[in-house]
Amino acid sequence: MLLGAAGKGDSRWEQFVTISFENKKSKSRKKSRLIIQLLIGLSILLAAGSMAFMLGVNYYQMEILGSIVGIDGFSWFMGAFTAALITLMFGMFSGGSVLYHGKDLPLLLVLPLTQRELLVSRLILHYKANFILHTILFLPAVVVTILVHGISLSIIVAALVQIILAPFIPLSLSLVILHLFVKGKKHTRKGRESWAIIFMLTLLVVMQGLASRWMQSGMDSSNLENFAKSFGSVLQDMQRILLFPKWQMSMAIGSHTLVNGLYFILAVAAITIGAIYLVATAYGETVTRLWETSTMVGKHNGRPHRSYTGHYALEWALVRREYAIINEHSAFKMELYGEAVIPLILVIVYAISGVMGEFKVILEPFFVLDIFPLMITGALLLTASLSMMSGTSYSREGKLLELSRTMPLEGLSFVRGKMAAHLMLFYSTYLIFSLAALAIFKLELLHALWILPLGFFVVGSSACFGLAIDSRNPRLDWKLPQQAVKQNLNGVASMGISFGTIVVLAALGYLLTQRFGLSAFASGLLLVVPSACIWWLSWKLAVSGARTLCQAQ
Amino acid sequence: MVAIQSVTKKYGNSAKPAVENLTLTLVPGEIFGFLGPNGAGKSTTIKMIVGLLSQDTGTITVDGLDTLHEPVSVKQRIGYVPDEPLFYEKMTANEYLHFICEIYSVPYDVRQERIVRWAKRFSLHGVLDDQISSFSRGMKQKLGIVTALVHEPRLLVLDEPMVGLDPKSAFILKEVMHEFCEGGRSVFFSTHVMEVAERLCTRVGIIKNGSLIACDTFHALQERSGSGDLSLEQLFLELTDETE
Repeated sequence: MLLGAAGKGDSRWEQFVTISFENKKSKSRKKSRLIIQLLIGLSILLAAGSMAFMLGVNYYQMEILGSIVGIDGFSWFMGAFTAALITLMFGMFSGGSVLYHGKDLPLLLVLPLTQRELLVSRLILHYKANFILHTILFLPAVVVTILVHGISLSIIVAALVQIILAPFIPLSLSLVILHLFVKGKKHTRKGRESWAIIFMLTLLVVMQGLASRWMQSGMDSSNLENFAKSFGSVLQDMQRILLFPKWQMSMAIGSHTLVNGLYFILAVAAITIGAIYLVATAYGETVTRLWETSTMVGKHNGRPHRSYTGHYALEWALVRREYAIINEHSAFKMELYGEAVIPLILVIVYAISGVMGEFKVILEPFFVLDIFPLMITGALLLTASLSMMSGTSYSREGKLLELSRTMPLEGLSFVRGKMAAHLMLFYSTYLIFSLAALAIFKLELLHALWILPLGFFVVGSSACFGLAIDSRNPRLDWKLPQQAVKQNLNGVASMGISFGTIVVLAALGYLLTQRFGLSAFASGLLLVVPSACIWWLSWKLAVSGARTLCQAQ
Repeated sequence: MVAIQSVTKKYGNSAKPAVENLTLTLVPGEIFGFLGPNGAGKSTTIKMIVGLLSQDTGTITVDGLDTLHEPVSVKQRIGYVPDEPLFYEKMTANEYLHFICEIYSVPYDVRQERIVRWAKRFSLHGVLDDQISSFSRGMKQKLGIVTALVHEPRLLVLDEPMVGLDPKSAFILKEVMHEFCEGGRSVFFSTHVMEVAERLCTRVGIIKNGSLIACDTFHALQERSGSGDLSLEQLFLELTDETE
């Protein structure tokens, strides 16, 4: 019953239905929303499919690598290891919410439930929440093993047993880590979630970087042979030390499948029972304590608040407000900070993993072209401008927009604050990217004279067009934060306009260099003028939109 | 202080106006209680005064300033407590109050003193550095009241301010409302608690179906009804025909 109730409240399907069918008044709107949902569904399937394919390619490379160093079924080993590692990361993130900070826990704590009933229901929810992820990560390894070694009874049995039982290992570990976290006196939900997010993002980006590297080298076995020469002993050590994936692998491939299967099952049972026993010792008390301390009084209340008091104090206050709204929901944080930061982390990972060098080799023929600085700037502008930040800015406020509208401020002030928040996130990353590009591609520093102002105006106009669109028809009646960002057509429209702006500027750049024979530097400088005009127009539109929104309605 | 002149407001295609031909004035130093059954038009009137809604016809002025033509100056003079408290919940109470001070241009050197003074008055001093998301409904209501007071407005507009307040806080709020008006400033508030209105208000206005059906002092209303010992609750029920 507890599981049913939790499932009803937390069901992804229910959320999907809420998003799709919430507006029954307008048939055309309902239809267009359905089409969008269909497209989103297809995109999710495509993304999952491509992820599974990429994993499969990587596992296949691992299988070849294993055969070179004498390990049969190494893809299975790596599949089991990868699935366990990522499930552990996600388990740490979701486990805390399910076990200790669930929104329904205050309600459940007052019901006549035993500690055991509550814990069992939460553990099953924890397993349910991570089971599919583990399976998606693990299944490509099974497919690769079948392709290489052929299908057999031991492989089928091992796959079925491991799909069901293997998630218990990372999830039990996540229980132990969470238990240690919540036992700590300084534990805060924010702190734990922040660590989990940092771990998760880093792991995802590193995996993406490594995966791209494997994709780059393709199926070239000579490359793998070199790798095996260098890291063969490391792989053999890994296989010796990491007992769980080793037993999992040997359960499917090899001569002692039954014995290894028994080892695996017994070890899973032992670790699971141990972890549950540890958590169960004081589960009820811990949950109650966490809820009590969540409203505890701070130690230094009423201390003077330090804040900037200069000429732009109002704008700075509005910028802080903008980030306070983003920080209200993890969906906003993941979407917007992710848009700004993930490309940056990817560049760092690509640089470390050497993929950047390969990009450089691919781009070498273009280096000699005079328009190369314009091309690179165009690409960087696309990265910095295609964002949902401003196109959903008013929508993200939701009910809080009423609070904004009671403030004694002109629309202009809101636009200034929102644009500054946008520039802080996206122009700063553009600055880093463009300076890095100047250094990596050994371009003359003089190009910075047009690259930086051009970026300012293009990123600024992207912000203003977004604000102008969102101010005219903000989506304020959202039930789930995703509806304000991911499901918001204003964001898509503003990205479309930003894309159009860059296309127009690219066409002008082409005309200046190819038709009029101007240098890249001169063309870049000249492009600053139309970009400033576009920014001015977008600014006017954003301010007039904000003015209308602030007016009594 | 507030002059509402022949104001009518209709929502969308609705046949009946939410507020119809409303005229009332609020003089400096006055506590005005705005009473009426659910859906009578109280919140609509309040939202028009604070500049959230625009009237279809008529004018509203605050301190002689038109709410539609000089909205920023009007908002600067008003402290507003909505019926449902709204905050940026990831901010601490202290951060939020400093933010409000910045928005209302409260001089930096007096901010801290005002924040601490009002927070102490409403027993929020101990939780100023806590995130607003951890506050109970009552604490949020008190924070809303402090927010409305911290920039020292000329007019205090409160929509159902007693909801969620514990008896001590409700008592303090009543004290504060009295003190607020002593300096020639005014309070306009809506309530369903007749005892509060009876004891606190200089005048009360009763609105029904969007029209003002009575507006006077409590004693004048008693006299007009012909029975000198009726309570405000009984008068309200009589006037709004809700006794049966």
